[in-house]
Amino acid sequence: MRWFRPLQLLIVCVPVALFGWLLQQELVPSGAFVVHHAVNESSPFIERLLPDQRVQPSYQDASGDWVQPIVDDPAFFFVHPHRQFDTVDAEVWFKNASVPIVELGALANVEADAYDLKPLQNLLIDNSTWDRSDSNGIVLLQREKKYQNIGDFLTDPPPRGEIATYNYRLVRPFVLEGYAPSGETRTIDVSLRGFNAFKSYVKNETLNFNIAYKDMNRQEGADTVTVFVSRDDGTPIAEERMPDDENISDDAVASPTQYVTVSVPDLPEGVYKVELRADRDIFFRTITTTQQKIVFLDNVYLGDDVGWKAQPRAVKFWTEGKNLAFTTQHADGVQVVSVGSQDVNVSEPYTRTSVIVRTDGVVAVTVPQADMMVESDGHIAFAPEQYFNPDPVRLLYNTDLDRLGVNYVIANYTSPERVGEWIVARATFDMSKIILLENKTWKFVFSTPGIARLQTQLLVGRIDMTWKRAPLVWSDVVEWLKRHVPYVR
Amino acid sequence: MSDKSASEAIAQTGFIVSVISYAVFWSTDAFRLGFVARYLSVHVFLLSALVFGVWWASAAEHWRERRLLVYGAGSVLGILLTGTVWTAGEGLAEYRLLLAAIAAFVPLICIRLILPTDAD
Repeated sequence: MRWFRPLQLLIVCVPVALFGWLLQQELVPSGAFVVHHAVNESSPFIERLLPDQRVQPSYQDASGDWVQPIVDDPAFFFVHPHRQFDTVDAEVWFKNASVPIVELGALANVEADAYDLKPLQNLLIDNSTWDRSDSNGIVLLQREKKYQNIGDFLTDPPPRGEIATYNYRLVRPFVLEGYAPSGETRTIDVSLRGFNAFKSYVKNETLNFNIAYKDMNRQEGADTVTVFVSRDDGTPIAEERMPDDENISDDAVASPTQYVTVSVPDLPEGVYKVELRADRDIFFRTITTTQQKIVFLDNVYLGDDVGWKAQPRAVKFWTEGKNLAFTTQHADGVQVVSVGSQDVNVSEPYTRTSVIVRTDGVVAVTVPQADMMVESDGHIAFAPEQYFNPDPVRLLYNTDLDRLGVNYVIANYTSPERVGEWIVARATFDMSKIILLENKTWKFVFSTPGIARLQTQLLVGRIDMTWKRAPLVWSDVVEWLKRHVPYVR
Repeated sequence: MSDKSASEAIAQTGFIVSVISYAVFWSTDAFRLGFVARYLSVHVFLLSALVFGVWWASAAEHWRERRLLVYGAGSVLGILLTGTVWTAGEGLAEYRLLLAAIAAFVPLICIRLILPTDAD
């Protein structure tokens, strides 16, 4: 054999081995694919943090560590998986002195712009001076120690009003004392734009809603409507879908009034959640029902009445929320909103105006001309008799536990690990709940509520992920061949 | 083969392997976007083909007589060049097709100019 034959063999083997390695990366036969991303490095799988208005360029801090500051909420990044995965284990290295709540989320609902958020760090809990108990990822804080452990607390809980929750759903169902069903029909005559969600109470009656809406066709694209009903624990109950009005242009020609009805008999007593899933071309005009208790959740977009009423109408609602914010998207929507005895001047479009409500309990809010996006940390009812509060207080960055009379905080939360100056937090996502965008991309978000208002920042160092799927077995290969290669059966 | 020098044989192997690899990796990456590009540029094989090609040309003593091989290699290079121009020329609008077609013949024209004709 000539002396250079092994060299020739080596030249042949290099690309063959490289192809084999690439194939292994592509197929992930082990079922786990690890991706590392430091903020000062580029990655083909994890993009840099965006948008530039909410993050600053990365730099080396005094310790010589590369960090990238997040200065406003939310900051997001896109992730490009090269195939389907079942779960994602994320590990985030960051430095944080004063951002109260740090969460990592993945986009779960495009229409609602809703994210599956997982806690990374909660300084309100970690820095609390209350008595703390930990068990199996559950944390209980007690203003004064009454319960010996979390089991005792769950067995014999205090009144709901004394409990605040963080990332936790109370197991004991909410019961509205003294509630009796009624056959009387009532109508919520308020224009609501796009996605909205509300809760209602049912006892020995048929859950029913007849919803009138119009497709205003202000933006291009099909505008479907889905009414989704679930139990308070998220179990689906019913779903009604309505197609587009067959006008997918942005000609601003409103559709005729359309109706979607959901009716579910024989439901056990309890709280039910109804989601009106639609984009912002859809204006829900009226909701007619025999349900007596209806409260909207978190954010409500009060739509304008163009193409529906001759003049703008005032909208009045009631909320127990103590932190409200108002934003209008139109010059005509500039107005002074009254919140109890406070006046809130929404002085220009696209500017979020927030207010801390001084009045205790439920307060009335009047929006003189509607056309307003309303954010509340409480529930919103459009008639005082419809108001009820089925949820415990949520522990938010600005929740005043003393003022609300909260004596217990229960959370599904594990404090992050500390490695030198770094905080290392982990979160696992079930990707069946996560939206894979059209370009085969996941959208992740850092939720840091209050970061701008508190004028602080979060320093992100690295984001590592382990994407997991079932390991590849030979039967998978055979199945694939049967599906894709002719004559292989 | 028996009269080949060692360097010619190695360069020949390198060139052929590089060209085949470039074709295979490029087509796989086109079929499954990012298969290669996520980890390395597929054009490293084009670079190695050029390096081995130049080496082979300088090492081979009788390459001018192997017209079939030379024109064969030129044709392969022409196909690769066409693919590259087509891929990179997205912004060329109506000239894209024309330039890609011209690119196919560039290696053959070069070979025609370099190789001596029968009349020579």
